[in-house]
Amino acid sequence: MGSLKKTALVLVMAAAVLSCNKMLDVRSTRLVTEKNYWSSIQDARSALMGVYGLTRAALTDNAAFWMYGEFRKGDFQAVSRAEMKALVNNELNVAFPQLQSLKNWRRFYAAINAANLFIERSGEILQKDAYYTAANNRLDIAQARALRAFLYFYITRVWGDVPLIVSSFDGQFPQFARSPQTTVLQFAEKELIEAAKDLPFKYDANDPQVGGAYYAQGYGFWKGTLVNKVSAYAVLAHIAAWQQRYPDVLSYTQFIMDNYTTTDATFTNTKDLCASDSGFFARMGPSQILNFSFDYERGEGITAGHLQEYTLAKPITRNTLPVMYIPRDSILQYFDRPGDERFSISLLTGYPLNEYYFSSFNSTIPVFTKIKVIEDGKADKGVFRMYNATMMFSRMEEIALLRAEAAAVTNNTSEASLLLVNNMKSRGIINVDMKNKDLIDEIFAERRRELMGEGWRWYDQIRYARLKPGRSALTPLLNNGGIYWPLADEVLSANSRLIQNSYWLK
Amino acid sequence: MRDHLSRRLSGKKRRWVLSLVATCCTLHLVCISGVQPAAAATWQLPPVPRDSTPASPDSSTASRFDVIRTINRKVTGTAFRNNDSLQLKQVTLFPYTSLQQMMKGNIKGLYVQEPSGEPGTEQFMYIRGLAMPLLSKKDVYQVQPAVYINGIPMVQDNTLVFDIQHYEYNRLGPAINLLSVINPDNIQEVQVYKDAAAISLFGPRGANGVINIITKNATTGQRKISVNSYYGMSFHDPLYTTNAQAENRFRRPFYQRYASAADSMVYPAYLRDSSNTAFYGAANWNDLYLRNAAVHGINASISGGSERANFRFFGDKTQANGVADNTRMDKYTASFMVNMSPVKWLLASAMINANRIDRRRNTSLQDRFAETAYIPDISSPLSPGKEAYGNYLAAYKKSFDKNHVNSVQGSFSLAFSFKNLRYTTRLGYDYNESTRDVFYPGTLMDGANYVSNYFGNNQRVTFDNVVDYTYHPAADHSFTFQAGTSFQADLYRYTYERAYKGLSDRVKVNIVESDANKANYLAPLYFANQLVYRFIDAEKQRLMSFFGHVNYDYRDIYRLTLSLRSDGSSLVSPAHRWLFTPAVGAEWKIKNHLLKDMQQLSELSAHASWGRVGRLYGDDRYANGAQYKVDIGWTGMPNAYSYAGVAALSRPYNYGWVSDNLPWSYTDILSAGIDAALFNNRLRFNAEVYSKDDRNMLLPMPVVAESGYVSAYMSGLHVNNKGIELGISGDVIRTKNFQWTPGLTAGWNKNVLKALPGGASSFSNGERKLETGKAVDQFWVYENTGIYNTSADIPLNPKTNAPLSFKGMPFSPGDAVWKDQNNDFVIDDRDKVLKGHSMPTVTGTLDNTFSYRNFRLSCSFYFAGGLSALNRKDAVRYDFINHDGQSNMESVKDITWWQQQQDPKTYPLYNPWSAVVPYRADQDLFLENASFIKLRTLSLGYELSGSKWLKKNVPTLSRCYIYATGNNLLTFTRYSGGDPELTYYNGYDNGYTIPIPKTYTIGLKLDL
Repeated sequence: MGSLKKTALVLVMAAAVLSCNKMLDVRSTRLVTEKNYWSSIQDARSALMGVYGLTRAALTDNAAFWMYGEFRKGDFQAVSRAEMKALVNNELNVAFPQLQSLKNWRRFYAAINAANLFIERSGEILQKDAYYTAANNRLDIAQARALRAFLYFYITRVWGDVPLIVSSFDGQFPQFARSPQTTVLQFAEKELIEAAKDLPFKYDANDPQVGGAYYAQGYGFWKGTLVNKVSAYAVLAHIAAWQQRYPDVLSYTQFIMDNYTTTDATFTNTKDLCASDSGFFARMGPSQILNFSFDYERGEGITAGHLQEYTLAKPITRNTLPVMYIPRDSILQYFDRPGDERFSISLLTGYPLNEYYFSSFNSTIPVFTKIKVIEDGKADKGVFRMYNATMMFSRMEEIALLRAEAAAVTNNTSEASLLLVNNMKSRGIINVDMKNKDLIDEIFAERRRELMGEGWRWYDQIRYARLKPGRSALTPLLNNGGIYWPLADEVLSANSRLIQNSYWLK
Repeated sequence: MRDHLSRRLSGKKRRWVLSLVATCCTLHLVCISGVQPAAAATWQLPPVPRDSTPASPDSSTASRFDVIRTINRKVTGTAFRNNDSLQLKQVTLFPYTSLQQMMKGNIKGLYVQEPSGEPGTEQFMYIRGLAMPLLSKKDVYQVQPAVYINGIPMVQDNTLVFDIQHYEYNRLGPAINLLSVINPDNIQEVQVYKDAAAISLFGPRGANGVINIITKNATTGQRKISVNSYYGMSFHDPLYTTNAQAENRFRRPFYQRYASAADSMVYPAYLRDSSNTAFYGAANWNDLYLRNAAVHGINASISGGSERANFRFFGDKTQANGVADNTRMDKYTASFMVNMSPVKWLLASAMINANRIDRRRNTSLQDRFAETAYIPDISSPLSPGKEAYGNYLAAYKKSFDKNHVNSVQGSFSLAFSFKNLRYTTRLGYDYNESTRDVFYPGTLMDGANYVSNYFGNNQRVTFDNVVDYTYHPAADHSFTFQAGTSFQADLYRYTYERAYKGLSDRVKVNIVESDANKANYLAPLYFANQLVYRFIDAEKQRLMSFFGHVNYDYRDIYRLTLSLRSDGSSLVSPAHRWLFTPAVGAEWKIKNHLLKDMQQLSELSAHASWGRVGRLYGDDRYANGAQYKVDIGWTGMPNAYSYAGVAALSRPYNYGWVSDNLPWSYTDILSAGIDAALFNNRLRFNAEVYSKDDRNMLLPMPVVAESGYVSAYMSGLHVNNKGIELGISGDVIRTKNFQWTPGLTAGWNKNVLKALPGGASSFSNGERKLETGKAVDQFWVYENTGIYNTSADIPLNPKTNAPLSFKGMPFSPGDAVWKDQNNDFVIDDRDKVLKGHSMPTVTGTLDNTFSYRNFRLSCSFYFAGGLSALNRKDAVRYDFINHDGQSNMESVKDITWWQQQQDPKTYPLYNPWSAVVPYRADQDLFLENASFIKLRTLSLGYELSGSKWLKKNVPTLSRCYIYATGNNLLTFTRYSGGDPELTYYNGYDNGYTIPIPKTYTIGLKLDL
């Protein structure tokens, strides 16, 4: 009896030993392991969306897109926040947490790394999943390359020379020194041209380069979300403009002018541009060129990191005052042409013609309401501050004005003034007379009006300073490197091969 | 891939060998030793006189304690007593509602942090210092001791929810302290194990120490009933309220001295109009905020039965009311235990312990906005007037915030005894579920109402099998052997849904379409689907252990213990899944050996032990190596998960890179001590020294930003805690009628960071810095040495003639002077120094007990020294410029903002508009000594059971004790910000907590 029990005991223990290792293999539901990834068409789609998502995150983190492009030395003033005042004054070494974070380029490199990884690894899926076709992969890689090039162009504008890393070094953390800006831009330009060959005009089943529904979704689903040929050329045009290669700007924009109708892009009238409900910023479509949306219908609205967080207040939201505003005098100075639908004082009433760009104009702190998409943008919104206006790189008006700038610089005055006048007329300006006016100055003044709040002001000022060093207040900064952002301490301390931008070394 | 596989195979082989060593060697001894007569009494070692008395043993063949004892390894544990016990007789007098409160100050080397006086909220325990730096609140959960109830390791809240939280002040859900389920009157013993020889018996869960709770068990014979009850009041301290005028007066000097015209233009609206009675009127909000509140508890138990079958039932109801903000906790307990012995060699036991906890939370704005993850317009604070605050509370009445926890622990065990061999098997489980249902009306949230529902549950199933065997080869030698396996399977999960801006404040629930045939099945009916956020997460963990251990006793002079164990955890990568750890211990009874004849010496023994115990990771990410997850969020929007409506995956750039094949981390503990008693046990003394090394732990090390990763988790963090623990107590007066027993227990701990991953000598993540050779709980601050009054005060760099700058921003008059540690004329992170400690270096208690006939009076002083607090509430108040017009959590002004300390600390008058932020919190200007001494408890009681009248009328009465207590009566501290205990885990005093009240109770303990 006793020995039987002992034997039973030993058996129980032995059984427990045998089965235990298997029991410890618990599959996590919170992540995907290396072994299980890059094996199906869903992985390709989620990884590609990851690249887009990380790009959007980099541009949205602390509203970076607007901090870099709109507020720095821009038209907006800070009501009270000290870090915003510092940013407006280009005092970027001030130690406020938000500015510290904006000095860090990590999130851009996260998106770049994800793109690198996608370019390296997505081909593996071809062998594992027959549903994933070579054409699909080619299209996906073209997008990853275009996004990577766009990201490099973006950080080059912000930091100048940046390390050019075109491989993922997955799991390794090598240190790279900065590459010269021209090398980086050359790479970006080359990549974009290559990628553009594979990119479609439309993510439509009928587009020859898509060849069937893209990831089983039609044009209605994808429009305004992914990089297409025209987006690639828009970035190309700006790379050339940034380097003052204006003849190239002309040829790149020519491609867009010739093809934008194929992509269904259009010019937008003022009412549509500013309508909160289904207006330009509420929509996602081909007219938003290289678009990163916060689409309400897809539940991607945000509460942090958006322009509207800084510019909106009563009467749109419940906030008493906005964080950033354009003083009345400046508004009157910029919008000096009668009939301008965007903003002008009505000659009949003496009041603003409309409230497209500004509300509460008669208070000391007017509210910039050009971009005011809250939730679905319907009139009763604003109680809950969820920001949904889309964030895009360019639109047709911007391309046209860039082309006008290139034409003016290359002494093609007639085309330049035609493009400029067309834009002004489309905004309702009655008396458009370019006689005895400096065309370049007029083009930049129009850009200031047209693109207000869209993250262009800083880069426009830089291009202007390069064109007219004598007339720009930014010329000293341009010459001493102060146009670039300082690098965050943690970036410098983690990579001994990096050096601070010289302007900020004082 | 092949390498990976072969490593795994070799690991498997090694594990086989180890488990054979661990289990079979003892089994082998079992088989060859044959039958030896052994009295059941050998299971019980004679108690060593200590500052506490364990329960008396029972000597039936299969004792009713045996099942619990065997599994929790108390008696056949190590060869000698090596734990501290809680003095329950004393502790049960006080209105403690959580285990942490019971332990606080009562166990050497155990520090309890009670960050708020709000009843039912989370509290944290730290045994022998910090095993790792607390870089985030998640880390606090990784250093908590394991709590066992009758041998079942209690499952605690996980840290999964922190992944989706915007703020880490409180965890999502009800945030109820799960250790509130422990009821002092239901406990027989609480033992705290800190040394390796003991912890090794519990395994990796115990790496931070073990608190072993043994509940009262069934009794045999005459039915026994006991009733315990107390009733009391909590009183608040006076509060010095302020209004806009006081704030205006506070700000005036800054404006007079530094403000530009433009700065004065944006003076906050609520301060601008001095005729506005809402802000400039009486500041009497405290009338509605504070109250003196009742506390009570009542419980009863009944037990009885025969030797062969007996039972115990316990029921309790406790209510604790906070003194502020209408907070409250209600707790209900039902506990049942039954033992049966159908045949002499079999004992079956079942235990079930069920609890329900309801909590009424505070109504602070901070907690509300943390829940909603959305901050409405906060440019104007709440008005300090009673009427306005009353209106606000009335608006709050339309909301609801229901917080509940249900918790059940249970076990079923069988013990088979065959002479001196015993086999015990047990199935145990611990299940708890927490729910929180919230509705805030639009009137509280800028017009957009808010609904959220949280359901979380944690569960653990354990299956233990243990074989014991005793062996007496000769009269002088005695062995006990034990071998066993343990399997634990955990599941943690939650579902959480929040919805904003419903159709109407009358619809307080997010109702979904219930008709499965409709197209909008399960879609919300009264909230926009786009404004409904759903979160779900779950994690499974498993732990498998094999262990064996041997005790040897030589004539009650030498006692030796050895234990070996092999643990496999699903939280460790497959390549290193199993960890083999040994532990050894020895005791030398010097009195019995050498000093038998010395009459004055009643007891003298010395002991020492060394061992290694594995540490478990808190997350399954580290087992999975290189991985992909949803990680496309950004500052303020951490939960973004899709692009173009399509779910996106990426490498974990924002969480940090996780390498393949991360190994186990583990703890090496070396300790030694002596116990002595003199003069017929009248003077008792013990001392213990220890050195605890936590090695191979993970740390998110910064990596090059150009990789895209914020950090990479690397193994190799090594922290050492060294310390001494002392206890001395004596019956100074011991006469028939009067006794006076003073006692002192104290612990001193020194924490040192020994190594960082990859051999780095320092670590910084921007907020915290760690340096090898220094403690891991230090603040990283600028050293403030005054004020620059004029520009002539500002030093110039002789080389460049440029003035001293703050990260490139030149200093100007009105700025703070921060010491330029490296003399490079730039003040930056390199000039910050490590100062102070957020954890105490010394803790302890001074007790005095007086008894006169049937009266008993005791008082206890609790002290903690060597810790600092960073007074962030002052930093925020002085840095008002950067907290007006902001919408972030730091700038939220709760109703409690309208108060000040009685004697506020004064600071230099800096220029608050300066871009160097002179009132920044990370400077030693706000770092204060937070050491304190508290008169924590006072009690006076009288034992009535001896009275003739009672004896005559109630013959079965064995105890009738009436008593009165006072709690938290006095605090002595130099800290300027109030109660120094009320700080956040990192030593920051944010000023958002509810005070710990003074509580007075009267009570009765009746045993029939």
